[in-house]
Amino acid sequence: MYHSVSETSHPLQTEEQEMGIDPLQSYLNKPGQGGSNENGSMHHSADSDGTFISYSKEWEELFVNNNYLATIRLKGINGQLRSSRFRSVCWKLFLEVLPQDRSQWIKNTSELRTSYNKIKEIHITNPRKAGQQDLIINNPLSQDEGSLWNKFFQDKELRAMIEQDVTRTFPEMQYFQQENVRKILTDVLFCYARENEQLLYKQGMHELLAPIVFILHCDHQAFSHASEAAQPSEEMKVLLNPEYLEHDAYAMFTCLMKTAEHWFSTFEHDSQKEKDVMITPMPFARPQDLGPSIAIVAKVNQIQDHLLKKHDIELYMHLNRLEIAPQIYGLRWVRLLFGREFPLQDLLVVWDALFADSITLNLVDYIFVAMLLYIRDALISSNYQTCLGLLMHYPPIGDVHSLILRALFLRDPKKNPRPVTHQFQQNLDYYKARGADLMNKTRASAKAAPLNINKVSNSLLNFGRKLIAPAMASGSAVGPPGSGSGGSFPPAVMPVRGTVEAPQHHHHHHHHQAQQQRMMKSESMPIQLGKGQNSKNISSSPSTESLSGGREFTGSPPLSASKKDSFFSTISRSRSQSKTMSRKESEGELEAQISFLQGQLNDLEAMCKYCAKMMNTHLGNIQEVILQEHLEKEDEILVSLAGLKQIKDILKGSLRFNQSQLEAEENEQITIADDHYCSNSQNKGTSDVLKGSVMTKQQFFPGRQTTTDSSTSESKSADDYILISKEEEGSRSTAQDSTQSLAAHKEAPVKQEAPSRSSLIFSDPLMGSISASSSNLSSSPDDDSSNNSKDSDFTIVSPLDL
Amino acid sequence: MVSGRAAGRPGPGRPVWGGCATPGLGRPVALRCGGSLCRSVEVIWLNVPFSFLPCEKLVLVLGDLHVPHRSGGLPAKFKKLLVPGKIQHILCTGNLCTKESYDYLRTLAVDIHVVRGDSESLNYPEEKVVTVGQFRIGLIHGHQVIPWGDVASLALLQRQLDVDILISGHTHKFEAFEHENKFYINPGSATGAYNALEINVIPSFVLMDIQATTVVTYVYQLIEEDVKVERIEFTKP
Repeated sequence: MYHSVSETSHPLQTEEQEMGIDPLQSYLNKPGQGGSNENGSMHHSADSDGTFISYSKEWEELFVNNNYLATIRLKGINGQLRSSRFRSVCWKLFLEVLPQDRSQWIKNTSELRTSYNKIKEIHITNPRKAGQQDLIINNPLSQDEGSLWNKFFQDKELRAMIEQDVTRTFPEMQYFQQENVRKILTDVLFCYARENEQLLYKQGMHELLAPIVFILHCDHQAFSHASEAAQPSEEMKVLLNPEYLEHDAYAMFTCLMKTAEHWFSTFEHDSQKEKDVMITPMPFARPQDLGPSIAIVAKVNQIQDHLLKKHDIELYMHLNRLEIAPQIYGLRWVRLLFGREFPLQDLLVVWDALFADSITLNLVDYIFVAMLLYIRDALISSNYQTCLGLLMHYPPIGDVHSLILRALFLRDPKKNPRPVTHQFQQNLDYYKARGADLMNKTRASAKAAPLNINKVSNSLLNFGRKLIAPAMASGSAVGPPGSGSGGSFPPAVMPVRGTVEAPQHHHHHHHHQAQQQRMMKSESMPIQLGKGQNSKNISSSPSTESLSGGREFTGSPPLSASKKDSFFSTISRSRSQSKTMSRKESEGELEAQISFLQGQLNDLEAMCKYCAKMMNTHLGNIQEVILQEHLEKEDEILVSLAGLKQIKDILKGSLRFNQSQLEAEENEQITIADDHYCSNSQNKGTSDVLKGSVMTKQQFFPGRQTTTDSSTSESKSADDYILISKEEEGSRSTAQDSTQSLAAHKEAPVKQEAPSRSSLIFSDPLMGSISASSSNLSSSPDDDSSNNSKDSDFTIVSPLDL
Repeated sequence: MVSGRAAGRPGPGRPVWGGCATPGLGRPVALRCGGSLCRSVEVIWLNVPFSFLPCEKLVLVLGDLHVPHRSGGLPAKFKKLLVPGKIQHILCTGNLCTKESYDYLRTLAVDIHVVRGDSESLNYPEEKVVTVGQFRIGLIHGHQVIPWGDVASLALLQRQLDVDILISGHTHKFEAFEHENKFYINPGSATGAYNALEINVIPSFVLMDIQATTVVTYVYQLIEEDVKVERIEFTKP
């Protein structure tokens, strides 16, 4: 797994190291270099000789072999055309402007150029130069259809529209500010609009044309620089003739538009269907479903409703809940082929891959989804406003190629390796954007990952697989990639405590093995497994994408050990506050502090957990011995044992520690509240045991007094049970006072497993949890109070079901 | 040739006030005493010296509407032809008579130059010199030129104003001719209003398509309910 990944990323790295020349920079440098050559300095000739040799060598590498097309396609997808000086030629091949047969290149090119000349002649009219026509028809005020003047004035409107957009093309780039470049853009767009009367010119086309013109220009610059030294081949001369920039741009643009044009068309291709909708509107139809069936809208809806749903149901639900229709952001993404989402150099790399992949540009859908997944955690933890902000101003992406890899993986997980490095990168970037907090943590977690892999038992791997199984099942990718990712996944998720908890996990697993085996058939994961895992991930989701849980782990508060409660709530409060302003750089320091404190909390918590675990084993031993001995004052011993167990529970965080009580009653007796301590999910595995043990739990809510006592468990198995359920409780309570995203994450697994589980063993409790979790999902994640209440709903429901 | 004699005056095309002229931008260049009248002459540059595109402009020339005194308004066929967005400048030889007529012209183009007619209710300058592209165009109603429409008298005025094209009206009779390498235009009456000497007046107006050194004049006349168009070309020597 790791090997394959590192191999795929390897060419990328070398590429960046060896030829990490910024094409823009080379473009800027070229005129200067050319100038010095003209000044006649002799030593430059040797340089330029070398330049030309490398230039022609690159040409040969790219185009002179039998299977050159496959080679350059591969290079395009791998991002190796980033600094190529023949990118325009490659694009021409990808876009099928040039035929595959190299002998046809020159002929084909000149044909296209003459045809453009003709088109231009026809469409760019000058009524003054027209031959003598009937003055009645051909006068400036004529409104006759056949009048050149009339056409001239109509063209003028169209031209004004195009020019308006052209002047705003890449305003940050000097190149596009030049008058002649603008004229080229305008003329090409104008001719295209006139050639395609039905489509005309639509806003956004200029953004597709501009990069094409730019790469043509860059290649021409490189060519003229290289050809100063030596005679280039005939092919190069023809293909890279700067005079025909406009012609070539038109040819490439038309070919690109063959695919892209229906994304621009506002033509309602299925009016019949729309009528039907108007008559019998679908119940529960969303606004975007009711609109006219425009191709582009249908496309983005399809991407969000099917692709995204398939790959990340959680994000899909979240976007749906916020009622963010995909066309709000997706129209621009697709129409401009992400032109506005990346800086130009990255954009060119994306286009390399898009074009190289296929002229039909079907990679667009997957890049679309990959882009959503890249910011999924930010999205899920955001409210409507922030979500829109993220989508409309897509955050800067560190390595755009990872996005492509991910898109490829999404499309075909069997043929493409899972881009693991990408995930990690993503976290880093995310935090950079969020003020550079938690950087160290993520790094640590990345380091911890390989270590853990050795220590974690097979059962843990199984858990990992189980955990991603629900998502993978729908993705039909449960095979090798799934299991492989399972191996790499849990370590990333629980880097800090992973080693400590591994044995416990094993234990836990062992205990429920029989049950788990029953579960095996349905690929769903047993709830308690999920919970157990969940408590460690804290916020990981069951989907494949929950790899990113690593980030959330670092960002999320630890399981609450009792003493930290008040302290912690302040942290979480400030965290949530800072979240709203997280965009501001000034918050970065605060975030970093918080992350540091949270790191300390995590450490403390890990210690507590360890203590609790040890206590658990020893207490178990003592209890067994005592039970065998049948001592006289057995009851008292057992009661004190129970007290010890409570302390252990507090250490583990499954019991909430109430500070006021401590002050008032000197910790006389820790009281335990609601008897929903036994989570519904637990009792099927150990249902017989449960009868005796009424594990209740003090539910901690800030400002709420807690309460009653309950008997402690007396059986060993019940103890084991505590170990499980407490984790669930812990994670729940964490979710309550911590970031809202956690709540959402936590609930998600329950929801997902629910159907399969209920069919297997029991139904009612799950139904309860479903309703609770779904209601939770429907609330805004930024709504703290509602989340709290929902959570309490959840916990109340389950005991009732018991 | 203008440029030879126009020493000391800002030549056409020089950015005097920085580019595209706006209405009312004119300033009196000189106070001249010509004939018995002391006239103030407004000089306006309409070309866009910074433009990268060749200066191609459509200038509508019309006058003597006499609405509502002698005519109900522009013929419908003319109104249909005159649509906004095509014409850059309007030169009016006067006798709009009402503000409503002026407002109508404003809907066709923002840049309007009007001179005072003999039955004008609003106050306009007696004459104007407007520069479009490379052409200096003089604009006068024409009742001051005696005898009305006389070529020699117009030529005198042309020399006084030092223009390439002299536009005058008042006779309600379309005329466009070249005289001593200068071009003279009389757009006639756009509404076909009668004048002191003539009752049956053919409604007419003129559209000048000004290119570099050439002006193509389109004459629109409403003859028996049909719009006839003539084309006259004049090139600056």
